[in-house]
This record gives sequence, C-alpha cells and structure tokens, in this order.
Amino acid sequence: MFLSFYITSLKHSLVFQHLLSYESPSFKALWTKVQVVAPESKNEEMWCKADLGKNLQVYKVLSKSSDLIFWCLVTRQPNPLEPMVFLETFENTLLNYFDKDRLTIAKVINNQDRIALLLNCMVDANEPAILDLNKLKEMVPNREDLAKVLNSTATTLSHRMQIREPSHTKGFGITSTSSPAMKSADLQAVPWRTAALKYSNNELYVDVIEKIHFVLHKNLKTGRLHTVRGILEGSIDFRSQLTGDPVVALSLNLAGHNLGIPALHSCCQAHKEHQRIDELQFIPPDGKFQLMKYTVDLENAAAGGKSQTNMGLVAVDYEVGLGSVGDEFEIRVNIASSQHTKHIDDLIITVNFNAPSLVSSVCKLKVLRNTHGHFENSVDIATGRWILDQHMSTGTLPVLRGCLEHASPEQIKSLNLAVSFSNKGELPSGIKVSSVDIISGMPRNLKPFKGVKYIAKTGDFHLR
Amino acid sequence: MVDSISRITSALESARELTLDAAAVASSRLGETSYHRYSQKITPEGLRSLLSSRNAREVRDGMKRVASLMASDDPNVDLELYFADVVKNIGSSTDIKDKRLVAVYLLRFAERQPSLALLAVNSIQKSLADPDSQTRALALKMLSDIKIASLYPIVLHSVKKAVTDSAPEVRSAVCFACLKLFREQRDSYADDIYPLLKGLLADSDPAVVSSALVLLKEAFPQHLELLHGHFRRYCEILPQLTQWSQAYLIDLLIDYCKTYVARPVLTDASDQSQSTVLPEVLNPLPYAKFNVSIDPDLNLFLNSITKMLYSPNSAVIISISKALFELSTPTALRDSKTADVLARLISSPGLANDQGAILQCILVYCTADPTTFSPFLKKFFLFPSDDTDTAVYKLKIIAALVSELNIKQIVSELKYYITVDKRSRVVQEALNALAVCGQFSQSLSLHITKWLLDGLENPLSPSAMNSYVSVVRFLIQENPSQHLGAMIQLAKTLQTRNNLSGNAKAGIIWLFGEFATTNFSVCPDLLRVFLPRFSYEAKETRLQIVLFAAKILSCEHDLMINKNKSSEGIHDIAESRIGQMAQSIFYLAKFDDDFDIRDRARLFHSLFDKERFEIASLLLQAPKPPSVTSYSFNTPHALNTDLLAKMGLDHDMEEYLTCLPWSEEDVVDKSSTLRTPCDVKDYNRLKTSFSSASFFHGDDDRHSTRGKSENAKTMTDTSHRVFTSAQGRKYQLQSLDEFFSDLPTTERKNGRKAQVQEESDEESGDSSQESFESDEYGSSESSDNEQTDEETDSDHEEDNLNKA
Repeated sequence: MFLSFYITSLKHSLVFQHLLSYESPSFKALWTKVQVVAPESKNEEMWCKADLGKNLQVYKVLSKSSDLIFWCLVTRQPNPLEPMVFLETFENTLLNYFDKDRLTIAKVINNQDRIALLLNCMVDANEPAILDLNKLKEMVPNREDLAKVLNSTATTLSHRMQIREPSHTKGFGITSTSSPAMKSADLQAVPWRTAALKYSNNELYVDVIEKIHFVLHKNLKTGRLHTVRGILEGSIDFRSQLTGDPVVALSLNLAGHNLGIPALHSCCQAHKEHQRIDELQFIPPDGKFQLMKYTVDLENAAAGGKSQTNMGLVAVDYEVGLGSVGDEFEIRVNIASSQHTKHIDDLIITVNFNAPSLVSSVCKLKVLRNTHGHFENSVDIATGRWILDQHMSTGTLPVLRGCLEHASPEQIKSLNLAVSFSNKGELPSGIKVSSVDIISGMPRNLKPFKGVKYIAKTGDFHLR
Repeated sequence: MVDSISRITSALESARELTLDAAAVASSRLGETSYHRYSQKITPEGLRSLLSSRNAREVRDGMKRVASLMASDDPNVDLELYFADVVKNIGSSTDIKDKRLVAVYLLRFAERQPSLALLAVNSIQKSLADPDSQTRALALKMLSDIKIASLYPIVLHSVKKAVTDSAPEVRSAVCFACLKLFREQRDSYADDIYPLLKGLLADSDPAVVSSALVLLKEAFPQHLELLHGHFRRYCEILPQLTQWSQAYLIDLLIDYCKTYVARPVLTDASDQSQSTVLPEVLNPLPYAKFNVSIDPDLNLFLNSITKMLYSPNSAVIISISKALFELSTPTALRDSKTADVLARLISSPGLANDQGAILQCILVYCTADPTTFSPFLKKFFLFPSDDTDTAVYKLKIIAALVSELNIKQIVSELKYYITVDKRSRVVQEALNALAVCGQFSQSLSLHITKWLLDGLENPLSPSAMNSYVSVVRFLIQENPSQHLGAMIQLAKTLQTRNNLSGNAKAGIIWLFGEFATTNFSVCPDLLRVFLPRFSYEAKETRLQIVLFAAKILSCEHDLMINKNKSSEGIHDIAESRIGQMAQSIFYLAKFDDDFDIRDRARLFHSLFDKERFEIASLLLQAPKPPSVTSYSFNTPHALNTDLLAKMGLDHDMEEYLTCLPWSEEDVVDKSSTLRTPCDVKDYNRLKTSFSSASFFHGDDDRHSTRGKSENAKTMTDTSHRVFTSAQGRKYQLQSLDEFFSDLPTTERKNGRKAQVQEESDEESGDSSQESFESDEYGSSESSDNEQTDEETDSDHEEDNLNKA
C-alpha cells in the first residue's frame, strides 16, 4: 500500500511530492526520520530502502537518466520488488509522457500539477491502477510545449477541422478538450494504443543502444587478455507517430548472436507462439516506448575467442615494468577503423593503481609522453585520467607512456584501466535493423518517415 | 443536416480555441517556465479570487497553483483554508482536468473538513450518472476517496449501482472503491463487498479482472475458493492483465494450487511401481531419475506462466520463478529457461534496479539445486559499479556455486575483490566465500591461509583485519594440525614485521592463544618474545598478550595434569618457566594505563594464585564457534526460517520466499471438477446497445472484431445470450440520432425484447445484411463457429419476425 511519493534533487531538496492522505508525512518530516533511521544512506547506491517502523518502509531509487531521486513511502509489501518496480515505471512513464530523454528539475516543477494528475490516475486506493501510457495521456492530455507549437503553426484552421472532425484526435492540438463524445476507449483495438489516431506527418524511429560492460584481465606472463565479464546490454527504443492502427514488422539482423529470452514490450504479445525475436510484428503504442531489452552474453563464447571481437571500436592494452628501473608503463589504444563511424566521442581512460600498499607509499604518477589528448592527475596519488580529444577519428592508435615513481614491481603490476567512450553508427555486437515495415493498418497513400540510429556506450569497461 | 451543423460548431469551437491560444501567446504565457513564473506570483488573496472566478481559464490557473503548492510543500500557505473555494469547483467546472485536480485536493484534505466535504458529495453523485465513462469513473474514485464515516453507506450504494456499468473503467473503479471501503470499515462492509468481488472476478474484461485481483489480494487473500471457476480462464488471459495484476495473480495462484490442486506425483523411472508425491521445497528427491505426472490444471498454469518470461517487469519474472520453484520439480527452473531470464536480469549493472532482491531469490533457488545456476557462474562475478547489496549477494551465490570444476577461477576472482574492494561488507563476504573454497581441499586451504597471511601485512582497516583473522582462524580451526607451517610463519611475521597494526598483532596473538590447545609447542616462545616488548605494544596487543599468557598457562597446567596423572608430582606454577613469564606479564599489566588491561590482569592473577585451574580452563579454553557462517549446499535443507536467516536475506524477502505447505488430500477437496468454468459476465453486449453506431462507424480494423469474437467465445451458448448478441449487432446499424430519438435510455433495459421487435420491423432487410457483410470482413480471420451460428440464428429470427 503506497502512502506517498516524492521526487527530490540529488541533494535531497524537494521537487515534487504527492501525498495520498492527510496523515502521510511531508518530505521534510520524512527526511528527518530517514536520517535518524539510516544516517549513512548515501547516493552511491542505486536504490535503498529503510524500515521506518514495524510496517512502514521508504524506498529510494536514483534515477538512471536524470539527476533526480524518486522516493515512495509504503507499508510492507508481500512482494518486496513491487515498490521498486513501480518507481521505475513511474520514471519511465514521466519520460515517455513528456517525451524527453531526461527530466530536469525545472520540467518537474513546471509540471507539478500534471505529475500530480498522472499519479492520481496511476494509483487508486493506494495500489497501482492504470499504468498504460495511452490511457494516461487520454486522462491527462499533454500540452505541447513551445517548440512543437511553432512547428505546427503551418497547420491551418481548415486542416485542423479536417482532422478533428472524424476522429477527435487527441494530443495533436495545442490544447485538447475532452468532450464527453470522445470515448475512444470504446473502439480501442488493443489496450496499449488509442484507436484511430491521425497524424499529418507520420514518423517512426528506431534507436538501438548498446552498453558495453567488459572486465578483462591481463595475464602478465603470457600477455594475453581474457574475459572475466563480458556483456552487451542492448535496448531497442521505438518512437512512432503513425496514423491508424498499423502493424509494424521489425526485422533484425542478429549477427549470429543468440539473445535468449529478452524483455519485450507487452505490445509484442510474446506469449503467442508465432513471435520470433528477429522478426517482430506488433501494433506500436503511440509515442515513445521501449520495445526490447536484451543482453548479448560474451562470457560463454569467450572460449572461441569470439568475445573480444564484439568489444566495440576501442581496444586497450597495456604493458608494465618498462624502463630502466621497471617503473614505467605504456597504454596503447587501438581505435578500429569503421565504415559506419567517422569518430568516437569522449574517450577517457582512467588510470588507477590499486595495490593496497600504495596508500601509504611515496609513489607518484607521472606521464612521460602521450600522442593524443591530455592527462589529468587527481588528488589520489595513484589515479589519473587520460582525456583524449572529444572526437577521435577512427583508425588512430594513441599511446601513453608514464611512470609510477618509486614503485615496486608489485605495485606497478596493479595497473587498472577504466575506459569510457561512446560512438554512433555502429553497434559492438553488429546487430542491425534490416527493415521496418508497416504491414497493414495504415492508409495506403501515407508514406511514413523512418529512421534508425545506432548508439554504443560504455558501462563498466575495465582492464586489470 | 445534423452532421453539417455539428461540423460548423466544431469549426467554431476550434476557431475559438485558436484565438484563446493566441491570447495566451500575447500574454507571454506560452512557455512552461514563464507560466510557472506567472503562477508563482499569484498571491494568497489572488488565488482565492481565481478559484471563485467564473472564467474557466482563471479557475484552471487557480487549480494549477493549488496543485503546485501541494506538490512543493510550501510552509507559507495553508491550503486547508481554501477548502471551500477549491471544492466548489467540482460542480461548476465542466473540464475534467479541473475535476481531477479537485480530486487530488480532496484526497488529501477531505478528512480535515468533513462538513464542507459533504457539501461536495451532491455534485459528485450527479456526475456518477454522466454519459462520459471517464467522468463516472472519476466521480466514483472521488466519492470513495473521501474518508468520512457517515459517507460510507452512500459509497456502498453507488458502488452497487456502478458494478453493472457498461464501461470497464467504471467497473475497475468499483474494485478500488470497494477496497477503500474495506480498508476503512472492514467489519461492517466485508459481507457486502464479498458478493461484489465475486461478480467482478467473473467479468469478461481483463482490465476489470486486473483491478478485481488487487481487491482480492488486499482484502480477501484467504478466500482462494473465489478462484475456482475462473482458474482456467485466468490462465488463458494472464498475458492480457496489467503487469501488476499478473504478479499478484501468479502469487495468488501459487497458493491456490498448493491448496486445491493435486500435488504432482513422481514415479521412479527405473521402477514404475515406485511413486510418491513431490516433496516440499528443498527436501531431497527420492529418485535419481523420475517421471512427473502433473495435474492438467497445474500444468496449464505452469505452461501459461512460462510463456510470460518475456515480460519487461521484473516483479512478474520473480513471481514466475517462485511459482516454478514451489510447484514443480527443481529442474523446472532450468528447463523452462527461467534461470536464463533471471541470469539476464542480474547480468549487467543497468538492467534492473532491484538486483539485490532478485539475487536473494537466486540464492534461495541455489540452495535447492546449485546446478541450475552453475552455468551462469560468470554472471555473478562483480562489476566495479555494483552496489554493496548486489555485490554481497553475488558473493553469497558464488560461495554456493563453488565446485571442483570452477574453484580455481573463483579463488582468483575472490582474491582480486579482497585486495581491491574498499567496502568492508564486500571484503567480508568475499573472505567468507574464500573460506568456503578453502574447505574443498587441503592444499587449497593451505594456499588460501598463506595468501591471507601475506595480506595481513598490508595496511588494513580494523574491520577488514578482523575478517582476515577470522577467516584464517576458521581455516586453521578446520584442520589445525595441517597448519603448523602457517602458524610458524605467523610467528615469524609477528617478530620481524614492525609495521603491523596493533589490531593485526592482537588478532594473530589471539589466534596463537587458540592454537595452544592443539599444538602447544610453538606458543611459549612467542610469549617470551613479547615479554620485553610488552610496554611498547599498542593497547589492543597488550590486552591480547595478557589473555595469551593466561591461556597458555592454563593449557600448560592441563597438560601437566594429564602427564602426571599416574605420578604424584603436582604442577607448581611458581616453578615453571611459563608460569614465571605469565606472572611477570601480569605484573607489568598492573601498571598499565588502560583499566581494562589492569582489571583482566588482576582477574587472571588471582585465578591462578588461588589455584582455581578448573575455572581458568573453563574460561580460557572454551571452544569458540566457527567465525565464518559456512553453508554447504550439497545436502538439501528444508526451506525454513533458520536457513533463510543463515543466508542473511532481507526480512521482506524472507517472508516472500517462505512458502505455504501443500495441503493434505483428505482435508481439502482437490478434484478438478472444482474448476469447472463458471459463467463470465460480459458487459460488452450492454455496451454495444448502449453506445451508438458511430462507435463502430466503418471501423474495419480487425481488432474491434477480434474483441467481439472473443466475447463470442467466452459466452456460453445459452439461447438468450445468442439472442442478445444478435440484438447488439442490429443496434450497430442505427445512427446516434435515430437511437436517441426512439428510446429514452432508462427504459432500454426493461423493454429490451419489445424494442427489438419494433426495431426489426422498422428496419429494412438490406441494412441488416449490410451488418453481416461488415461482420464477415471482420471475422474472416477468426472463423468462429459460434459466431456463424449466431448469424444464422438471427437470420431465422429476422425471417420469423418479418413473417409475423
């Protein structure tokens, strides 16, 4: 049973609160209490919960996309995952509702009334109620913001009349009134899509995003890297603005990967026998949604040496024990050339020596020479960041040579590299969208604009 | 004609809107931020006048301000004072958004101003009869949100009326309203709500069933018999429910199956005559190879949930895994690929927020059968960004998955975590896992001890130090005689290394004190070494030296007693070397700064002085429990609270994973006739007659017809139902105007039959044919026998009526 919801900034100042009864505490009261109960709760953890009483718990989830913290106060649940999943759903709903990639504090403050309305619909009798975004959009019509208004100024009055008259389209006009005659729910085909939508410009975008999580271990004797962890975490985000009730077929080129059982949006109706992962057919919900979330497992394939071919465009290697006294190291980066990408962005390599004996030693990290970018020392003596140019063109081989002065061989061997970068146009797994087609349900004369985007990012990419 | 007029009005309407928008642009309130700024400037008095304004736009501005004040918890404005101004808008405002904002306000403040809130009830009740279903649903929600005792009978009355509403969202709201009533006054309303719930569970609309399940789960979790008639249907429609209700339903059905469905029977594959029921979770299976025979209903349930593994909701996945874990054989998790999905969820840091909880489930499943998750071992290796909870549970699982094949890999990983990780809980857990590894073989145990001893020389935090020492102690305690070498090395470390922290030294000295009982010979020398250095040592070390001296003295005494049992010679402390050393340590301790050390020294001194050796040995040589909680999962345990507590699970998780036992066959009736499908209440036919033709205007998409064909499927083929659905189809042909001009809505229900006759007399044959044509298009993909039957039926009727 949910009692209240809060959104705060990372510094725990209130941005939004929604109390479900008069007794629910305001955030100020809650925060004092939380600090008493769990004083050490820090922001480092993605989520945490604290017991406030026999039956009362507070859950806190750090937003993945924005600088916000989502909180809720609940009575003890039989299924402990529920509050967590709800907060996650809540955040996604907000993102999709406002059609944003990240929520700013200003956005939340400006839309406090709207968020309150959304929550009022999402929670009834202190339990989760309506969570379908299309229904929420219907119940709490969104006001388009300025940019969209400007874009649609071309729409003339007559055009508006045309499209309004037969269908009572929602979400198109600047303000949409809800007259009693509009009961689109009644002819709704599938629960996740509002029926008979009309758009003047039909668009459909597919974003495939992959996050690279790799932990490599370098065997210093043989000089070979072997994969400790290797996971590509991928998601297919879909954004559609389509007229009618179209059936979309998305065919993927999986590049030989077995995706196992990915998480699919409910529109895929994955419980039916005929769905295949590489040829999905579905009626898309309107607007933004996440179609699929998959992982490519490169750990079991590691034996065949296949894993490291899917590591993305950047390969890193290092050598230690160089120089006359053996306290030098060299980091070599190989940015593979690619036909699809001209450059990779924001390549940063964090150099860190983590031998425990270094804490009290007199070692000093120094850079002798580097071919690209610049090196930034940090307060911690054994850590530094090699920041390469913002756009590194593919096919280059940056090298950095440095030394850890006065280090013992044991200490220099504890070199640990963390790599972060992003690039567009190519995925590390090689998965591609071969085609997106609209099979049926759209008027013939409409040719929607289709776009596909590939983004690769790093998550945990470590070489040790 | 009517059409064109409506077109013109709508054109005017949009024109008006545009001008309004233009006005808004002019007043530079276009952007959200500037609107917010404007909104911030509204003074308390201004707010009151805005709320009482006749201009809808001003009221909206006022309500928005109220909403943002509620959301921002502004201490300067007491919103309660505006109660009357806000609530009166419920009647005056026509905009549903304003009404919703009032609902948000009422939800929070109604309790505080019961008398004023009651004033609003009248207008809320009025909107219960609104033609718009959303308004009706909202009105019901609002009414039930007002927590005033005298209002409950009215709520109950409205609920009873609304339960047969044609719109599913209203019926869903009924479920939630019932839940609110139940929570407020359980005793007086439980009897009223129970039959309502029964009806709601029988609803044909998945959305209503979803809400009804919330009510069932919250209010009547013990009344699982309500699910009898719906069991099979629910298994079918499970994917159509909302994600939350999916999880609730699976959890409810687990309990249901345990109570009302026959327990699976295992038959020995090698000997067909041997068979037994499936043992409770985590009890050993009786046969190595077996065949399982599962009740068809249970099978249906398990099959339908395994198809749901694609769900994006991790709570659903956990419920599925729990169902398979409890209701089927241990191999089911693997065979159904549920293990793969769980492994996917925890495999990368960003995938699920609640990895800690999922990992706890996996940990429990591992206790039943480690082989299920051993292929995924690498998934449990840590990422540097894992948070503490995740890391700790991953390490626990690693400890559970250790086997001869993977032990080398695990040990090297664990060592890495121990050296690198900065969080003491993680280090502690990794050390524990390492201790579990150490139990596997003698050589490994020695290797690990040695590695840990080397590690002790690094500067460690006190807590890490303690963990190191306790693991070393655990490994040495396991097999003390093997670790003589390690002890000697430790002694050397103590003597040669000067940079050891006081804590570390204390830990090692303590270890020697314990070691004295197994191998006495190395200990006295250590005491000798520390005797001259006593005053230079740190406080913790001094305390341990005192204790150590007492320990070996007591040990020596026991040894001498054993040796001298036959002879008469009595051991004399004053004479023995050790005794003298101990006395001098006690003497030195008398002048210590720390009163604890002085106190202990005095205690031990007087113990030995007065020759209370038995007490001394009781005190000093008591066997210490192993410092590491080790769990070997090689032998399955019963899943009881003890085991769960030992695994260190979260309290909530413990409760969630504690499972109900199977009920006994002879106590509860488990026959499958219980689950004979009972009637489904289909309100869609009501809706088709209620709504008008415009709702189906030329809508040729396959889904609306799919909906219809589904209805046809769920309907039992009693004659009157066929009749009504045929009737419903005829109504589609009418235009809105025709319909309303003919019949007042209220009469419709009673005079249904009469109307049909009238209607079909009036309507010409061709229009009805038209309807069938459109139907044919629609139902072409689902060629349902029943539907064609209906059509022919109604054809006949048509004929009859025409003849008449």
